[in-house]
Amino acid sequence: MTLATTDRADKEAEPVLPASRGAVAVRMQAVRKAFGDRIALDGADLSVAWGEVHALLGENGAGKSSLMNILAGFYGADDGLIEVDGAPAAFAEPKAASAAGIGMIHQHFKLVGPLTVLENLRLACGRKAGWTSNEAALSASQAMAQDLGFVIPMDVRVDQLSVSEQQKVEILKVLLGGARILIMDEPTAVLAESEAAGMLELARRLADDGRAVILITHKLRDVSATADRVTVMRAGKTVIDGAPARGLSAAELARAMVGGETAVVRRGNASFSAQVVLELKGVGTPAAEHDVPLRDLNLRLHKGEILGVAGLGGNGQSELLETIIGLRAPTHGDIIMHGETAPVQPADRREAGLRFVPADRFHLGLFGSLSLAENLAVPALSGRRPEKRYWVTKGWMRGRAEGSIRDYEIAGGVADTQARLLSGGNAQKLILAREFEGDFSILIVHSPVRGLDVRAAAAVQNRLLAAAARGVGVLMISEDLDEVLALSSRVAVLSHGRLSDAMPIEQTDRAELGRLILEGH
Amino acid sequence: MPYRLVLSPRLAVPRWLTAATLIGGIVFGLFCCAIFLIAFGVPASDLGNEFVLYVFGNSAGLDQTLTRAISLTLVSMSVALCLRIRFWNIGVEGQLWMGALAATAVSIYQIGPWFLRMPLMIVAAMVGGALWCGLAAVAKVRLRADEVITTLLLNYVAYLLAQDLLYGHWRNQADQFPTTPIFPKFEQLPNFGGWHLHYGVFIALVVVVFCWWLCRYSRFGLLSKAVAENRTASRALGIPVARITLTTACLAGAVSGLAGFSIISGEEHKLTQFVGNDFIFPSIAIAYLGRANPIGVLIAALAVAGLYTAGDSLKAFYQLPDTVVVTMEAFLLMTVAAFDVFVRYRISILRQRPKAPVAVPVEGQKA
Repeated sequence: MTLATTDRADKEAEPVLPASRGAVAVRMQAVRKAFGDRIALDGADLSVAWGEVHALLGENGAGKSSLMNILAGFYGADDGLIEVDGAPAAFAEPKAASAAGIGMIHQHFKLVGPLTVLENLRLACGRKAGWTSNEAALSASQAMAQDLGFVIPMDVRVDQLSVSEQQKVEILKVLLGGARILIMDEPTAVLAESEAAGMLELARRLADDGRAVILITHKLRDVSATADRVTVMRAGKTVIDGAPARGLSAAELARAMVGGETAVVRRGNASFSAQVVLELKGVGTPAAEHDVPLRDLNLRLHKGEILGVAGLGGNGQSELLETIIGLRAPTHGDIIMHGETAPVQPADRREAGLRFVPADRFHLGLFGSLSLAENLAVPALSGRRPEKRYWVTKGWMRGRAEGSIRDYEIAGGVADTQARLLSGGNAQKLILAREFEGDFSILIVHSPVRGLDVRAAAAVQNRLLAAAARGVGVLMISEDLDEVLALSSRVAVLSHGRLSDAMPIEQTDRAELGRLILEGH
Repeated sequence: MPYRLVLSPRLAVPRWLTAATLIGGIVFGLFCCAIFLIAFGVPASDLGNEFVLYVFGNSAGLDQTLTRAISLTLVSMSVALCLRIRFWNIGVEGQLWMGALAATAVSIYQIGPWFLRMPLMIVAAMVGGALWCGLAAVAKVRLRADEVITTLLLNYVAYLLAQDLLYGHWRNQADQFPTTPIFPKFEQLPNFGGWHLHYGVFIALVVVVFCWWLCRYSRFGLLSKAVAENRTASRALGIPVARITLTTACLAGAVSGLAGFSIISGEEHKLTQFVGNDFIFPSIAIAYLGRANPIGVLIAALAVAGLYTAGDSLKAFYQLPDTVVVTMEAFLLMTVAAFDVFVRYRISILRQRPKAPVAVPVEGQKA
């Protein structure tokens, strides 16, 4: 292993771009990474050449981001070979990766809002670029911006820029820092259609200049439009390793991403009542920044069924959940619970038998600084008929919590432990324990087993099946197609805020679902 | 540098550590105050006298400290209650004024028989304060108006209303000073024999105990904790977020209003131009020093009241300016805030590794 002995003068003297177009820029082989008992990467391979746009494709949780975070030095691999430009490169920290010319453009920008564009650029790469004055920084930044065809005012506060402008600042930041290997994490996800095309053109241009560009995406269109080669990941493994993008059809890529013709594990009893517990009629939500608006969404959830909503994350999943539980008001359309128009307030919907399990366990699910017992007690104390009106003792909460902790096998905490100290699986069990308390008839779950190990996932899924068997209508929004196919009675696909018609599970075809998920309908 | 400082966030914080850092912060703050005072020419040997003897040791000092602590406890409790649901109440002065005005109105218009007069004044003061703070809360819940702005500006409205009344309808016709006439005896809180200290102490203690119960053992307190942590999740789980916000604000306003009553009925025995001045900064400082915990607020209020007493004697004996007290308060606040880092992070000093084992393909490229 070569130690970093480069000093700054040495670095500046280097040409920014290597002449050896086509030579291997990044090689990653048999990379493994586990977070606790969850395996994120299970022997992943990736090989990227100078001068190419290399698409990295995969479902949410397939391991794309983990692999790139390892390359960019955010965390270390447990095992495997990593080479940059032919030399072993296991970066201990992002700074080291950046010094080696690796720049990552994150999906969530890492900019300082109240500072101006120029201040952000100076902050991020002023030292590396060796700028000594504001004028030097300004002229270098402007030259780079002009070269890339960006029109960005340097003296405007970053938080006053649009999302696409902010993304351009990120790119400037990375390039001015001397990046030769660019990792773009779903760059088109936050952009409008027209801007997305421009962004892809830019990726192409940067590669044509001799850089290596890794494009993380799950849009097939991005791949066919821009990429030279494509690597597809699934469940922590590489399933297609750097095949030429032109040689692959959309169907082939889709199949590789969502898994081959694996046998579908069907749930035991797919029959359900004809009684509709929840209906959405032409529901639409307003378009706001960072949100995917729902468009004329129709849905009927029956008593005792699990209706799976498949689709890739960021297609309106959270918006759907929040609209149904009452956190978002639809601009048009009706939400009908048990044959009557749903009340406006979330509290009243809950009272009417609606429960939910959100994808983000701490954003909408739990109160991290409250104890397990307090978390379990909150809904019981907040409705129209709270179990206790005035006095709430620790003993009472502890007493009612202990049963749940036992039944739901919540490990790693006792009744008085703060919820934020729980692992993902146990946090999820705590949410289930709370939501399954008392009578309910409608359950909305979003990615219920995300991040859970196999055992915890099975426990959660069994709870969902048991609830459906009891007559609860379960709407399962999931980004994991296997899970949807394994548990659902019917399946619909959510794409760009639109929901397809629900198909009975017997009639679904995996390839067709894959196409709907990737291309919309 | 051969060593480097590593801060790693703590997951669980033991209770003793929280207490130890608070005490450590206060002790260090007092130490800074001492250096500051010595620099201003106060002999080091006199510091003990100033801080201990005059503040708590003799009856005059103790009397002054405790009397001052009553209103400080009440206004700070008001801020602390709001702080628990992350509602920034910068309006305790306005609420105090409104409480004082409402109580004075009961006195001036002689509402109710004499034996009910004082209870009515108390209720009026609470209602006055509650309305003033509740107004800001309604604006927040209904119109999303920032409560920092609204509560702050309502201070001026209340102050100017009071001045208008004192120079107008309520002016003492006997001497034309801008004060109301002295309240009759049955409208005055009784003093403890010969002291300035009055029965307002009991009001403050009842409020402290009630707030302590509310925060620790009540349904309301638990739901408030949830609201403070995450408003969206609270709403999704059916917690009446708006109602909790409004109730807390009204309660806090009522407590500030009581401070107004305690001052006019227990200390001034009339409404003057100055009853509601200089409470905003101390109330926030004390609520913060007491970690928004009712018992903590009581202790912090006593400590800050002591600081004021010490400041008075420093002014008298060493001709130090008024701002000395504010500066010392600031010292305490800063050190307590700075010591917070020990609660949040585990701090360790590591020997610097020779160089991070970073591989950069330098040779490869040059070849």
